[in-house]
Amino acid sequence: MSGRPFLHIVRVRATDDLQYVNPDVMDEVTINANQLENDIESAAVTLWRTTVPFTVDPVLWRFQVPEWWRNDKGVTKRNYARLGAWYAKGTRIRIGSVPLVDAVDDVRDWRTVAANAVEYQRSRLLSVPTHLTLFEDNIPVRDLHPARVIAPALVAFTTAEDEINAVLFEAAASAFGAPLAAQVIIPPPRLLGPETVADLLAFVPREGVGAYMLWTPQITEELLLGEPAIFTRVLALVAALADRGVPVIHQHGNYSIAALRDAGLLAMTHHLGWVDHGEPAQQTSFARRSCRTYVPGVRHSMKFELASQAGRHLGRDDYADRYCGCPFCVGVFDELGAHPLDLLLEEHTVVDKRDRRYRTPTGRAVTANTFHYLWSRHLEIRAFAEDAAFAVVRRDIERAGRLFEGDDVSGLRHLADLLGSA
Amino acid sequence: MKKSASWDSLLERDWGDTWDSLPDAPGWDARAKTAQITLRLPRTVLSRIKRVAARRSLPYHALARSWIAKGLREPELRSTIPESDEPLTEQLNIKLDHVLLDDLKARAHEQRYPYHRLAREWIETALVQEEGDLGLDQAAAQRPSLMELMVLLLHSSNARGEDVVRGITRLQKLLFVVEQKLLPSTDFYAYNFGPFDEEVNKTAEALRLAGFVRGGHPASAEPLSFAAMIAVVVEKAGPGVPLDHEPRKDFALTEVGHERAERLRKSGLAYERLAAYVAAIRQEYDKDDLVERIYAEYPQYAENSLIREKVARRAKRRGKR
Repeated sequence: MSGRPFLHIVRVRATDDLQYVNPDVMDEVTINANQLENDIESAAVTLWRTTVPFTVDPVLWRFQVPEWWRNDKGVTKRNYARLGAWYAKGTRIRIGSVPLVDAVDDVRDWRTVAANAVEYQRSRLLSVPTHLTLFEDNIPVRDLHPARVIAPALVAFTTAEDEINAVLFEAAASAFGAPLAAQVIIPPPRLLGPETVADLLAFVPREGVGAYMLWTPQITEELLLGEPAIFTRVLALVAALADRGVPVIHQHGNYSIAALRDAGLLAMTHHLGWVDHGEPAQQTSFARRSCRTYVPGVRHSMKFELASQAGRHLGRDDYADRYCGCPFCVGVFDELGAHPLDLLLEEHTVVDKRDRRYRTPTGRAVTANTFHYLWSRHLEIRAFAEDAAFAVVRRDIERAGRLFEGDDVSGLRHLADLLGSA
Repeated sequence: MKKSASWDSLLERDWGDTWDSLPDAPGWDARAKTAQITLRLPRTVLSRIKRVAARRSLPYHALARSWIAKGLREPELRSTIPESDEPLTEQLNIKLDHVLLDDLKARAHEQRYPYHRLAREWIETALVQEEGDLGLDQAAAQRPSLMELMVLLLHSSNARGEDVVRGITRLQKLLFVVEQKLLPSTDFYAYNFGPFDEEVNKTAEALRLAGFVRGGHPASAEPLSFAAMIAVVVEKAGPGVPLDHEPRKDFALTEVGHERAERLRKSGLAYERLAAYVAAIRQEYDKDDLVERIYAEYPQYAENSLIREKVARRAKRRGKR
C-alpha cells in the first residue's frame, strides 16, 4: 500500500446530483457556477449537512461560444444571464451577448472579470438568503468557504486565449492574494497539433499556483487508449505540470486517467454520467437515456444486453468478485435478496410525441446506476491511491478475463502496455 | 415584641468560640475576563444581522460585538431609527470583556439610559449602515420568504384535516394564492399548467435535502448506507412510466419540519398572524376545484395553459352539479 493521497472529486452539474453527495463516497465536490446560479439553496443545504469540502468551477469558458450558454432556441439561459452579470460587475461589457473574446477588448476588463470570478467563488454561497439559518440548530451551518479558489480561464483554442488566460490568472491571483488553482484547457486541435508540450504550457503560470486543473475536451477513453499519441501527450502534460512541484487535478477523468496517478495526479474529478462522451465543452441538451451501464469488471460502460450476458447468471460472491463488489450491488443481494442487474438493467418502452417507440432505462434504474457508478469510481480511485497503477491494471485484467474475453479485456491490456512503455 | 427580644439576645451573645470553628472562606476568585450580556431583539433584526455577517464572512456574535465597540468610540452615537413594533422575541448573547462592559454601562449611565437598550440601538444603527454599504435590501429581509411560506403552508391542513399536499402542481397553486393575497409582487408567471415559479420546486428540494420535507434521503454526513441509497431509488419511476413522468410527489413536513415550523410560528406576533392567514387560505383553497378556481380568479396566469379547455370543461361540469 502506498497510502499516497489521490482524491476523488465529483462534479455537480444539476440539482439531482446533490442527492448523491456524501463524504463516504467522495473527498470533495466541484459545483459548476452555472448550477449554483440555478439552485443555490439546495447546494448550500447539501454542503452544510454533508460537510464535504467543495470548490466552485467558475466556468468562464462557457461564455466563449454562444451555443455553450444558450438553449436550443438560441436564448440565453437564465442561470447564465445571472452568472454573466456577476462576472461583468464594474465593467460595461455584456457577458452572454456575443462571444466573450469579442465582448471584451480591454485588459482592464479582463482583469475585472477575473477579480469578479474570484469574489464570486468566495462570497456567492455566503450570500445565500439566511432564512435557512432559521433552522440552524438542525443544520450544522458552517461558513461555506471553498477548499481552493480557481482562476477563471478560456478554452485555449489558440495562443490568443493563452495570453488572455495568463492575464486572467495574474489578475485573479492579485485579487485573491494567495495561491490559487490554474485551469489548463487544451482542445483536440492543439493537443494533437504540432506544438510541443512546452509550447502548450508556455503561458501557463508558474508563480502563485496552488494546483493545476487539466482538461482535454472531447478526448474519450476510447480515443485515449486507441491513439497512443494522444495517451502519450496527455501523460506528458500531467508529468510536465507535476514537475513544477504543484498538485495536478484532472477535471474530467476516467479509469485510464486515474491510471496516470503515478505520473503526478493528486486528484481526479468526474461527473455522474457513466456514458463517456469525452466531456465536450458544449453541454448536451435533453437527450434520451441510452440503455448502457457501467461494468466495473471491464472498467467501461456497456449496452444492457451485453452486461446482462456477462453478469446476470452470477451469484452473489462471483458477481462481487468478477462484475462489481460495490456496496450498492452487494446491498441489493444482501438486503433485498435480489440480483442487482434486475434493477440496474431495468428498461421499458416509451412513446414520444411523434409516436416513436424506444427503449429507455426506468427512473429507478437511472438512480441505481448512478449509485453503482459513483461507488465503482470511488473504489477505482482508492485502488490507484493504494497501489502502483501497473499493479492495479494487471489485477483488473485478470478480473476482466474471468468475466469476459476478447475486445473487452484488450482495452485494459492496451492501457497496461501504454503504462509500461511510458 | 417577642421577635425583637430574640434578636437582642442573639446580639448580646459572645460568638468568639463559634467564630474560630467556622470553616475557611473560599479563595478569592478574580472575576472572569469576559461577561455575557443578553440582548432581546426582533426576529427580523436578528435575521438581518446574520445576513450581513454571512456577507462579511464573520460570525454574527463577533460582528454585533464590534458594533458595540464602535458605538463606544463615537461619543454621541444614538439611534435615529424609529422603534419597531415587532416583539423582541429573539435573544442575542454577546460576550464582552469587562472593560468594554464597564464603558458601556458608564456611557449608558451618563445618558440616563438602560445599557441593554443603548447596545441594541448601536447594533441597529450599524446594521442599517452596513446594509446600505453592502447594497442589501432591508425590506426584502423583512418580507416572508418563499421557504417560510412553504413551511407554514405544510404546517397547516386542508378542510379534510390533511397536512400533505398532493403533487407539485397543487403546491405551486397554493403558494401562488398565498403570494397573491399577501405580497405586492410575485415571481409566478403564466406557464403550461397555469401560474408557475421554478423557485417553488427548488425550495421544496432544499427543504427535502435539509430533512424538513419527507421523501428520499436528506443530505447527511453519515456513512452512505444501503437503506439511504435504496430510499432514493424507490422514489423514482418503475417499469412502464416514462422518464419525464416521475411518480407524483407528495409534500409533507417531517417531524423535525413541523417542530421548526411551530418554532417559526411562535417567533413573533407577525408570524403567528402570518401562519393563521396561510392556514385560512389553505382551508379555503385546498379543495378538489383548486385549479378551476385559480384559472377563474387569475385568468391572466392561465393564458399559456395547455389544459385550459380541459379545466374549463371540468369547471362547467362542477357548475351543473
